[in-house]
Amino acid sequence: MSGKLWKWGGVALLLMVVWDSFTTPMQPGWVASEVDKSDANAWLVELSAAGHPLVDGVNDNTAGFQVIFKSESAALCAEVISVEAHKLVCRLTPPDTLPRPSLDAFVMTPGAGSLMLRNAVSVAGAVKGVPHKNCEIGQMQPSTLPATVPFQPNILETIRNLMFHVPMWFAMFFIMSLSFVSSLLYMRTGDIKYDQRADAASRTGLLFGVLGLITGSVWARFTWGAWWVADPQLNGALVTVLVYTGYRILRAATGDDDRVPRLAAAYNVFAFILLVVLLMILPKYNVSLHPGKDGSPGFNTYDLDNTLRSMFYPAVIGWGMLGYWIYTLGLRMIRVHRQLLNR
Amino acid sequence: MTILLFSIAASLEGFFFGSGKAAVVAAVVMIVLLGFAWALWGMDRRLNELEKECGLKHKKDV
Repeated sequence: MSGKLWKWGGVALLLMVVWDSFTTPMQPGWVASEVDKSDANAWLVELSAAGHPLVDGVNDNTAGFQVIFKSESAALCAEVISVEAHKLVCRLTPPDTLPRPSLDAFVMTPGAGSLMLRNAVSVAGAVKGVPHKNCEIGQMQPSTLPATVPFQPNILETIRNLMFHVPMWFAMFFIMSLSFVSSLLYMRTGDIKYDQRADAASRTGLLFGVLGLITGSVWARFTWGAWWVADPQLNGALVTVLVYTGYRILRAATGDDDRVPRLAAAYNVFAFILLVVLLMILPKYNVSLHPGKDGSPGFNTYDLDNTLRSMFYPAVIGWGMLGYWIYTLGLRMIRVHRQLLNR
Repeated sequence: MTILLFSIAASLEGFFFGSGKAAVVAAVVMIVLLGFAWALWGMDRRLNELEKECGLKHKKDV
């Protein structure tokens, strides 16, 4: 009964994660700005948003919205003209002097908190000078929206892939660790059951490695604009998967030779060390597009909020349990196969 | 690039979330996952039978 429980428990966790990650809306955020400078004394700035609607419907409802343009310590208030679900239009009096020739937009909203867009307006004609201040910035507002996934520039809606791509690599690490420990135990004891465990775990780990590569490549296409980029983390992941593919080929090619388990165990230990070096150590010492690689990988630095955490941690557990289930099935198949061969 | 990102985000908003298709996609993914789990379960049961036939005890793994 307990065997059934953990297996279906893992599946239930994943079902919950899938539902939540696809149906939870994204926090709104600005993705683009357009400035109409036809009137030299009053520019019209249109800010475009993605994510949860700023207001319901398309009727103008500017109450509670405040737009401030900032350039270092200079702050300029803009007059909000209209607000739609994913668009805000405001009027800005162009400044004469500014510390730098661009303005960042800060928008206080009644429900979605304070939303910022860097370099929203270019002010090429402004004289560099003492910043003048004509606007007081109000208190930064926290979001009062119900559960939303955070808005991350460039990542946008694809942030939902976090619940698939990252836990799949975690599952791969977990399963490959089992394979590594089993190989070490085999080398120490010579007991064939450890070789069987290493064999089954490497198959499952490889499956999750390939899934991690596919989900990562799709994510890269939408966030970085290419299916693959020459990044130490990505190349390291590919080399790791190829090394484990080599392990599978080694096992398949050497047949039932008695020396296979020992040879495979040695290769597996080498492969796991390479996995740790290529995925966890080397990318830290190189410039990488991949998040969390230029320092200690703490989750807080990845901009996980509590809503994401409530999906991400169950996803890690769920994919880990599913991976372990697949591993046990593979192991049992190997045992049955061996038993049938010995008859 | 910004325009491209915005068009992707805007189309996702309108098509995916605005029209409620997110729930349909989630339901389809859930059905696929459930189907996969069902297949694993079937494999599990057949392995149990094979293990009984082979005289293998269901050993605790790792």
